[in-house]
Amino acid sequence: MREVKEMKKAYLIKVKGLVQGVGFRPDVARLARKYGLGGYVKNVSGGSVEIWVEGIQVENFLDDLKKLPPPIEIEQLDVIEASPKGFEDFRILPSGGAGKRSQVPPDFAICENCLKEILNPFSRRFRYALNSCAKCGPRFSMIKMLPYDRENTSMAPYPLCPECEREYSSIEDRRYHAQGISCNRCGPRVTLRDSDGKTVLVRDPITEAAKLLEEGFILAIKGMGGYHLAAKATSDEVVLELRKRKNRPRKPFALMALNYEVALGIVKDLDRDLFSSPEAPIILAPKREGAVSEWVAPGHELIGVMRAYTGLHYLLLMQTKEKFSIMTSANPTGKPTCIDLKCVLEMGVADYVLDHDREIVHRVDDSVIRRTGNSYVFLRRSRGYAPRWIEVRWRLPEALAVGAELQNVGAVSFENKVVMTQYIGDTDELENLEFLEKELRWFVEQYSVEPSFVVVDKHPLYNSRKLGLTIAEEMGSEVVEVQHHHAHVNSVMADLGLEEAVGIAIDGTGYGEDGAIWGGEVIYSNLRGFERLCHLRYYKLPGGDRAVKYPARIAISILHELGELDRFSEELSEALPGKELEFELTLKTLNSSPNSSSLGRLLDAASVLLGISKVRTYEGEPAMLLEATSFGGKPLFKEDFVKGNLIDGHELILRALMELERGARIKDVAYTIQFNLGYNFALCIRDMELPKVISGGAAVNQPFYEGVKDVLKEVFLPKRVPPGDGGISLGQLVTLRE
Amino acid sequence: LAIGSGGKDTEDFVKRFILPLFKLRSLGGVGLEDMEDGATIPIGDGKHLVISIDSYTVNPPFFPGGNIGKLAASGSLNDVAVMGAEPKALMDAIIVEEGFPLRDLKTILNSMAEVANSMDVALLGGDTKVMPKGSIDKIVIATVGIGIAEEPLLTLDRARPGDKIIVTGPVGDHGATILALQFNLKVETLKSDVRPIWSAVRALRKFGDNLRSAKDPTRGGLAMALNEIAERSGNSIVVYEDAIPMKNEVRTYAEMLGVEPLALASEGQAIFVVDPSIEEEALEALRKEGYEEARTIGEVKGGKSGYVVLKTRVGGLRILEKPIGELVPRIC
Ligand SMILES: [Fe+3]
Ligand SMILES: [Mg+2]
Ligand SMILES: [Zn+2]
Ligand SMILES: [Zn+2]
Repeated sequence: MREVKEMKKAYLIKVKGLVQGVGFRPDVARLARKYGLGGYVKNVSGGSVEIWVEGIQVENFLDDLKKLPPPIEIEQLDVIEASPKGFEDFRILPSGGAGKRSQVPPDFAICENCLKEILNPFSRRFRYALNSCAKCGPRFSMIKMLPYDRENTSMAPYPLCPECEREYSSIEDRRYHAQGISCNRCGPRVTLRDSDGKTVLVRDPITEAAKLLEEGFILAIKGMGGYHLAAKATSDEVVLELRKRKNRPRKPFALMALNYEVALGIVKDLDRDLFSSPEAPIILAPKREGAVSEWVAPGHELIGVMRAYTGLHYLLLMQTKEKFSIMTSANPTGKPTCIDLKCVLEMGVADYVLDHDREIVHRVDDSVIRRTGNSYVFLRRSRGYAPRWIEVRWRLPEALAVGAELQNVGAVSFENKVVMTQYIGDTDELENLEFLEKELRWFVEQYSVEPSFVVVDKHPLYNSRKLGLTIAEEMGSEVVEVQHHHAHVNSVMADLGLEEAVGIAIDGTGYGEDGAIWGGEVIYSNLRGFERLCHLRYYKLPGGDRAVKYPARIAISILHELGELDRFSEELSEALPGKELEFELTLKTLNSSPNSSSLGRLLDAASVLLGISKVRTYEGEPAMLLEATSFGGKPLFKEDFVKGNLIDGHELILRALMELERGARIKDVAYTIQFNLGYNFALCIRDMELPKVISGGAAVNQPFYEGVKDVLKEVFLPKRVPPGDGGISLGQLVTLRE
Repeated sequence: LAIGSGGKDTEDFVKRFILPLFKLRSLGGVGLEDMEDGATIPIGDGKHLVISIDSYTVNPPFFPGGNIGKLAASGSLNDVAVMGAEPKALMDAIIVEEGFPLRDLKTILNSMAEVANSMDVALLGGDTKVMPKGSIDKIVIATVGIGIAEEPLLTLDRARPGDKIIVTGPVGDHGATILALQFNLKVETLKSDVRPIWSAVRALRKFGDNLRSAKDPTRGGLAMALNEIAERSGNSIVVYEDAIPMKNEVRTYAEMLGVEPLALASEGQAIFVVDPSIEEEALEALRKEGYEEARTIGEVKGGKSGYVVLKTRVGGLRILEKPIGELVPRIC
């Protein structure tokens, strides 16, 4: 070996990102020792880690540091050169610094090492279903309070056996200070139960459960942040039985596949890295014809699939023939996902329960991601991602935001950080509202937030708003109202760090400044305030929520205003449960009905007029099926329907219907409507010299996006938060930037 | 306009614009800020004089099941009755538009008299004026109802966790009927339920303290009435959608017209809050009095103050809000 005559160097390094609760400090210590460096590593306030290294091979250390694999995620690395202080060895120091706000780490899927162990007959963790290490396993879902130490988690009742203890305290072990560590001897137990909750005595509950699944029984399975319902995805009979028992006629079910190869048998174009990531979200991808029952996602082209992300799921699917299954969250109608046995038994859907006795403290549903354009967007940001905080470019006051109402997410802010809760659900249902309140209060306490402001939506009927007002009164905070689409646009701006932008905000329903129901808006925002630049031409929503459920009512309103109703009256009557009578009543109530510029609702009306969908049985159904129908379609025309500050959706629909009468294919007509809407929204902002963003629940619509891209070279979707209402609370909070 | 709809807006209006103006708002009994159906003046021996005032405009003045006269007389007497008072007297002020048919006015007065006579209620005084054409819409009637109540007064703050909520019969008939008429619908099966409900209150007064509160679900319907009970008593209320008596056509028309069926007014039903120990007896007593469809629809719970939760047919727990004036969809 060549004699090294290099000078000793010292670096003071500050690392930001996901570096706490993921075994980062032991990794750093191992690296430092590998290169014979002295110094220390410690957690400091703001969720960062401080490292001091000195020695000769500091550059090598730095290179390796940057390459540490997920779940570690280094977002920012500040390196300052210093003069060596003479550290002999390398140490992990106790956390220091004021503030002491350390991040609540999210839950992670089982890592490769842990998976290998449970498959290895010579490992002492062979077939141990709840295996985890410093890099993987539950975190948020089992934390009762910070700091993230074992006694503050639901692992507290499981004292370590001597072998686990040894691993826990040996810095060379990958389970060094892993709070979730356990094994067959000392960890929680897996049980198989019948539908009354009684234990079924079998040698191996998982093997037995796999057999039952195979035979067509419906199983509830306790996972990381809640129970799932598992059912054989290839059997029409089983899937329909599950739909019947769950009272869920059409809404798609997600699938879980053993691994990437198995998943590729179900869908096409699946991103391997995202699929295999520690976050392991449900990814929507184009389905393969005939791979699963048509009833898994009736009418859809995209189907959701995730990997077996715990040892329990893996061992279960491994022992089935197909190696995949339906894995849908076990939530009773109108209630959040079950996190305890009682809830699952009361639900009465499952024939058997594959259970374990580790308590779930925080309910965490699966995250859902799809592709729009060339980027991935969140439909739901939850397991694996929440509650990671989102750093923004501005200082924010300490505050709390309650979000909107459906598919809701709340948030708290402090310093330059926004902590968004996991997916909560529809807060017009009591238990979801209570869930939101519980999580918000938990974060307020854990992060010692003293909210000066509580931000609510303007909608007078949102229950989240009522909750916000109550909390504000109790905590003495000022109430701030933020318009829904302003918040939508802000959420993308916050994600990108923009202080000024124009945005297309398209969704189902938001309460507008003029009392109308907005949802097809072009908005200028400087975060604090906004201006409405263009919007979709108003139509009536005859009967309010009833029009949302039966979109034929909206079609009636649009065609009536165009004077073209007669040609369609018969088929529109047919699409209403009250037939001709309801058709008449709809016409009579037009004048007293609210105005709306919602793009989602216009798509619903188009869906009905093309004969695709008559009734909405789950949120967004008619519009989603319209998009599914346009799969592989092409634009029949590309026209300008912008009149002043109005986008004339009425005329566009009529023009498209003419194409249909001329014999155009439905998929092309469907594509054309969505494409031209995007095209026209983009025309409104084409000439503005500001960054352009797109947001709202309908922003993930692929043909719409293609229409937008036809006009605009650059337009941004949010990356770190969902464009839908799950991102609203972030947009609400940044109106408060200092 | 929404401030007169009887919902949340009306309440806000009273709180913000009326309450602050008056120095004296009660005479030792139930007063203005209690926001009850009627006001009371203690007259000794644990008795109260109970007074309630309301003005009535209804378009059209004649409707299946009654007319504005029957409505005006029953309305104020019902407001007195739900405080626990036996109605004793009535006063009225009628304003008619010039050119209003005299025959119609006679019919209306007849109906008022019928209500008063059937209950042995005295008409103590009244006033009739005619306004020039176009300055009012046909006819407006204001009535004052007066009654005497023995304590306990059936105020809404008396509901306690565990209490049962009983309704005397199908709700929403009046609201649905008027709504249908306003949209020019001829619906033979719909009929207003307007009538005095004192007999129902009387039937339950014998249970003393175990009858806690009473309420007539007029403007804002059951949704409003239950929210008021929840708010005033600081409890939450759970109602079972399945258990709420409502005629099919009422529900269907409300839904097709885009109106929350539970926000439709009843003018001839009452809601009672009773101690669970007398639930069965109370129902029995009501049935005997002719309220055959009386049913328990829910109960008072502790917990979150001011929430009314509807347990839906499929088992969900929907929050039932106070109706507001306008129709606003919430679905995103
Ligand atoms: Fe939205
Ligand atoms: Mg009343
Ligand atoms: Zn691991
Ligand atoms: Zn162990």
